[in-house]
Amino acid sequence: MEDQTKKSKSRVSVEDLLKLKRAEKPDDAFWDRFDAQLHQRMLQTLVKKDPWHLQVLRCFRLRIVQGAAFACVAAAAFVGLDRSGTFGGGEAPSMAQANPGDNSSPGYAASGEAFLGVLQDAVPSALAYYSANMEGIFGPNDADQTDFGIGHVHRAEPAPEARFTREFSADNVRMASNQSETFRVDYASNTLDSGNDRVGRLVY
Amino acid sequence: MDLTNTVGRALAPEREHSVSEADVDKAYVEKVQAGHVGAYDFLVQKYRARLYSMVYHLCGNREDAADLTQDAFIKAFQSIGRFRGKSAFYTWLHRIALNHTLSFLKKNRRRRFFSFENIEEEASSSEIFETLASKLQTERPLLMNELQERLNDSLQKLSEKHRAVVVLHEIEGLDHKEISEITGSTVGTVRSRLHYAKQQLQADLKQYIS
Repeated sequence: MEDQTKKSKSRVSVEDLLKLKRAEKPDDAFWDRFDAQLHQRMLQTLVKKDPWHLQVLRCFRLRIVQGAAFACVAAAAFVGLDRSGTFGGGEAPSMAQANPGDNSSPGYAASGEAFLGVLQDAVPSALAYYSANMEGIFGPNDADQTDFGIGHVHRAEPAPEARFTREFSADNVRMASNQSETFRVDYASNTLDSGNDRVGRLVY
Repeated sequence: MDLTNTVGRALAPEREHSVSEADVDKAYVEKVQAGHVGAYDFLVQKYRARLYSMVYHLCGNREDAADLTQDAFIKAFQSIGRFRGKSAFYTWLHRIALNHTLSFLKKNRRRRFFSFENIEEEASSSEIFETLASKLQTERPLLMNELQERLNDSLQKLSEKHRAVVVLHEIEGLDHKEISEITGSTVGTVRSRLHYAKQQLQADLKQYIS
């Protein structure tokens, strides 16, 4: 009887071997990591992401809204300025003015009408008529540059010999550059904010 | 997600003893369905070890098993709203984990590597282990490692469906009916697969079987 029990004990079956697999268990540290990871992933699933096509659509919609808003502002500015007579026909607006007759004094003229970043050469003889005082804005040296706002240009007296070019860029606006001895330079830092760059044009 | 305790306390202890495990699960599932996300923690804590064990023995890799088990819990959480209680939550959860693991194994047939969990001390001092150690005259730590690898090799040689049945019956201790519900096959099929799988294992592990 004892022999039979010993024999049966000494027999190992497939089931017995597979039971050993049950003893393969992870430790407590594993479960801590497991729980932390699972919670994190569960939270991620709770914060649902929109499907990709909705994300793309939203991106386009934002661009369209931005574009429309930009166009509206530009149109409003254009219409408003046109009505006030500062664009086109009437008196040319300016931010600055020069003293065209005096070669020794650095008279600088800049026109400040707004805008469209049209790079163009011009012969702005009318610029010489501007009467606004630029002394406070630009110093006597070429290197002196000062930020300025947009103002109105008023004609004062003619200076037909004056020749100017105009340049625009994102960083600075060369409002008018004198090609003759009458004016040295008409140059200013661009104080137009990023929404306004390329939205402007000088009128002489 | 600390609502677990709240939900746990909500179920009176005396009631918990009188109702079946499936009913307790159902109560928690209903809580989750009603929006108490924390109640899901209770179900995770209750089934994580069993679910992980099944997945681990199917794929033979502890890292993959951890990921797949987490995937299964997340999938179950995402579709718990559609769980109507026709089967036990336990069966439903195991079905999700099994299908997910089998599909992972099919996709990654070529990329296979194994990493094992430690065997508990109790097992190493078990009668079976002692018998094997004396029979093969091998030192225990060596035998333990060797046996672990051989058992895993033999299991991996089985087809996924046969392996699933062996794991669920011999390692997880489920009965034929439960396995048939989880695998979606008949009880007859389960028995037949189990018989065939055991024959294969017996042939493969004959040096250990007396």
